[in-house]
Amino acid sequence: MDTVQQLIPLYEKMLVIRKFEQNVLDLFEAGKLFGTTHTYIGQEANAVGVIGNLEKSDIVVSNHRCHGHYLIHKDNPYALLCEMMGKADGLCAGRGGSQHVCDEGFYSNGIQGGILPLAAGLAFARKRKDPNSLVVTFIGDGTLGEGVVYETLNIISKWKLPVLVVVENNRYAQSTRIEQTLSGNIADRFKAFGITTLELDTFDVLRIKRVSSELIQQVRETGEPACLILNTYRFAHHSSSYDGRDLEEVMEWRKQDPLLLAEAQLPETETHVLKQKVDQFLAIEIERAMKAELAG
Amino acid sequence: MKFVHSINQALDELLAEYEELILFGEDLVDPYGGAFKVTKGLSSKYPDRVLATPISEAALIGMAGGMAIEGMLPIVEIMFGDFIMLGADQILNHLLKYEWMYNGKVQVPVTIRVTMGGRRGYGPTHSQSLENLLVSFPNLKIFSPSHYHDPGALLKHIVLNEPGIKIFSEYKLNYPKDLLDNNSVRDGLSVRYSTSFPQTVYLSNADFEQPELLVISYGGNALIIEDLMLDLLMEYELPVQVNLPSAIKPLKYAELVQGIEHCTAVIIFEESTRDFGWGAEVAARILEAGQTNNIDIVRVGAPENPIPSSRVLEEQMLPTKQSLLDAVRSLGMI
Repeated sequence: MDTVQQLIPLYEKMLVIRKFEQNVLDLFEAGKLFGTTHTYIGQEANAVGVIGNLEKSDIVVSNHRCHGHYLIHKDNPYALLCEMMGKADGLCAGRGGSQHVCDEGFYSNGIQGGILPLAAGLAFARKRKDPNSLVVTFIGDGTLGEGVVYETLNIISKWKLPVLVVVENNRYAQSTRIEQTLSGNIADRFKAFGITTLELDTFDVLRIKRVSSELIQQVRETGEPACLILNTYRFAHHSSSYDGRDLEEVMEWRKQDPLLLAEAQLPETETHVLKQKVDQFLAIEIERAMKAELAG
Repeated sequence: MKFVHSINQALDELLAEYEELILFGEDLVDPYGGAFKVTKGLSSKYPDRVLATPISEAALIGMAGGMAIEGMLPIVEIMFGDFIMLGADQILNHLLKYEWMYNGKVQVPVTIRVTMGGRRGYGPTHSQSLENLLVSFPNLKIFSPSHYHDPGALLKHIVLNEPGIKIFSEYKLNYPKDLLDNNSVRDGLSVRYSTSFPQTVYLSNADFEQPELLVISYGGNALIIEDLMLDLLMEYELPVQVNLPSAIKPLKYAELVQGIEHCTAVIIFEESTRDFGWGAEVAARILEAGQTNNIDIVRVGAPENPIPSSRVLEEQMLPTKQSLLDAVRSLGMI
């Protein structure tokens, strides 16, 4: 398959996340969503590249910034929107909201690092039933300050549990730059536990897909953990509207927008059609969600 | 049958019958068999399902949640109950939330066995009875057998029949004790049991005839209370009933206060710190039920202070039989 053919479905998935999240920001501003929300804008290539390699039966364990992971693994924007709107059709009928969702084989929770033991326990149980099982868990650079992360890395390595830990290093923990809080480097943390670790500095979805595919294959075959560090950037603010980052810095990173990178390799007619398709699809889902019954 | 052997045997039977059951914690494999020998022999019989772990309480408890969601029946052992605080975030912000937060899409049956209690000179960080803290975790269930209960049967009941996250609190001084029942109870005392699990034990020093004083307590506190009952009988002829629920939370209220209608006073006795604790909840329930007419309520527990290592100092700090006698005296009953 040539690059264009490979790229088209990945680009479409990235578009779904990007446009979903842009709508989420609008809906949030309009007061249609409860609580807070953490958008995935800028990091789309990570979810699409990694989760694009998974089987539906694989497990994804995610964090507060979970929309992108969810949309790729479970593909149900209506139920996710309903969850944020407190609707009865929401993934958890409005009980969890944006950060706490559950759908068969997908779990997220809002405590930094707290999901890692969950991922390890799920992997432990799955491995006993199915030697090819796999759990992928996404954490961020800020999560690396939590002690339970290291407890769990030690155990998944020692007990040989099939967990792929994906670190999405978007360089900021809320408002705090990674240089202010992180000693040493990220990869050495994982290597210290004897965990195979790869690191990518890219927004190229095809590259992320190819590298993560190999790593996922390795985890399946060996039943042992691995780590993939994806150095990335979020283009939108952390959650609410505050963004203390230097605008020039943000604009510089935006030049590497994974969607723009993909578009540069695709015929404009193709991307135009896909944008319209995704817009139409999401418009319908959003309208359905707006009309859905409130829970409770 | 000793207390420790009852639990060991129950774990053995659970492991034998339920393939999905897994037991893990620090130092619990043979030949050591756990700091209190509760798991002795089990790792030799079930090497794949009785596992010694790193010292990582948060990860262990969190992993148990993941195992349970995937259909296993995990039992985690926390060597000293004090260490459960290292896993408190996993209990409160993870395990206890999953089932409701995910709208019933998952079930999380996890049993956490902990040792509690002082009087062994282990000092400030290895002697606490943290039940009074854990009762404030919403939806957490807490059970603790006395040596009049059948701890193994209780453990099997909560592992198999109680949904959700369950703490099984084992009082350290109980381990070597012989289990007592109606046939082996000390002279002068009699024992009865509620019918349904988790059972409440009722003790009496007057064959359950018209008690004047009701003592409500649980777990290892029975070791002190049974001595007090005999003293009150022989020296003061004061008829006392003692109610020992094995379910500390949720409370089975009717069983908790069984016999209260005859009494003029209730003492709630716990080794945990007294203020803001389990005893306060029990007292509030009695008050709310309107059962305080002509009844005095006194709580006896530990002060808000670290537990000393010196046995002399520890004896002064933790509530004792003397504390109980003082409470009875303050009520004007003796």
